[in-house]
Amino acid sequence: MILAYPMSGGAENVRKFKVGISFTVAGVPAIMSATLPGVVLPSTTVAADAIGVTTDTGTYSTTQGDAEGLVSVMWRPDNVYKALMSGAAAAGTALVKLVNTAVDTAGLTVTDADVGTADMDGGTLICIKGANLSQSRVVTTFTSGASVAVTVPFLNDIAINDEFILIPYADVGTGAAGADGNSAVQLTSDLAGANAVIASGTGINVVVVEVVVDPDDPTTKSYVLFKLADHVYDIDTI
Amino acid sequence: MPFVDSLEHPGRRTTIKGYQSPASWLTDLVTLRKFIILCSFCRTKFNHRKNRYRRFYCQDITGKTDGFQVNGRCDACKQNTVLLNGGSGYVAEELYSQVCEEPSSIRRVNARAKNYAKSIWSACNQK
Repeated sequence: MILAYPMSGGAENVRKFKVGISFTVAGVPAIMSATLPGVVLPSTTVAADAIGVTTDTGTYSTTQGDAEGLVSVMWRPDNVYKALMSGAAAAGTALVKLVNTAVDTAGLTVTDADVGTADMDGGTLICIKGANLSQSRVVTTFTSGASVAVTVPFLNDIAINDEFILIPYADVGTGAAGADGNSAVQLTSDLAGANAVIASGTGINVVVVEVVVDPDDPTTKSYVLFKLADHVYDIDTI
Repeated sequence: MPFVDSLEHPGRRTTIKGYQSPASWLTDLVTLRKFIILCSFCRTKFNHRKNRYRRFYCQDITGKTDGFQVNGRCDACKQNTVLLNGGSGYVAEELYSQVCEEPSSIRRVNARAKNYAKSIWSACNQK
């Protein structure tokens, strides 16, 4: 993930921290450890007491004479990070493209078995081909393996073969079930991206700020922007 | 949870035993492809292009800085760059796209997104 911007502006701040585990990929969150002698990696779903996101890599060693491992961290608690959305647990996989199979003149429901089984209620449905091109709506009803529906209709009818992408994130919500797309992002296996095929509200605690969809390549160049919610300089533990 | 400052790396050694010069410390950082912070006085002595580094950029939504300013402890003089007219950050070229975006690509994406829904060509083409 990359740094999008600090929410309150100004210059970025970077500090070098000792590592308690090897960091092999840059642009991953670093968190505090209660037992290890330095910052460590989070899991894909838990990043309690995060300190920020790394800007380089670092090697941990317990051998006498080796250089002390260090990693540089962008540590401002108001930083907004930008993670590439992936259509699988591994980073860099294209998002699933939904192709509508049933006409809906009310502009509310997209029908396609490819919606999968992960509950995206609270996520966002974005039209990438059809009369509603570039419009987005928050998902309010999810029917596993069948369809998704919104409450505020798309401006035009949803026709057969209209294409959409469905993501578990939204920049609005309360964090409660059904409105939790703004509260969590699950990381990809390399911890540098966002796994966008999981249920809304699953993953590390964040505040989703924005979703950016590249109009030319929406399935492989779409990003979720978020702020780390459980930051060591912000709040101890949620 | 440990006290955060105790986890901060001290940087180059400046004690009588084991003193390391700024040049030696920077050479170590470059060898390991680490992020480098330099104050406004020390950065003139570091040729980032020669060492395959790029200046870190992050857009400043308030417009107070040009986006290239990064503060922290200067890796050469060990002073806080806030007190020295602001610092610069340097990222190894191979890591640049993993941690920050160059300003031109941010402008390009923003412009495309802004015009996307309005374009007649886009509407006709039904991407």
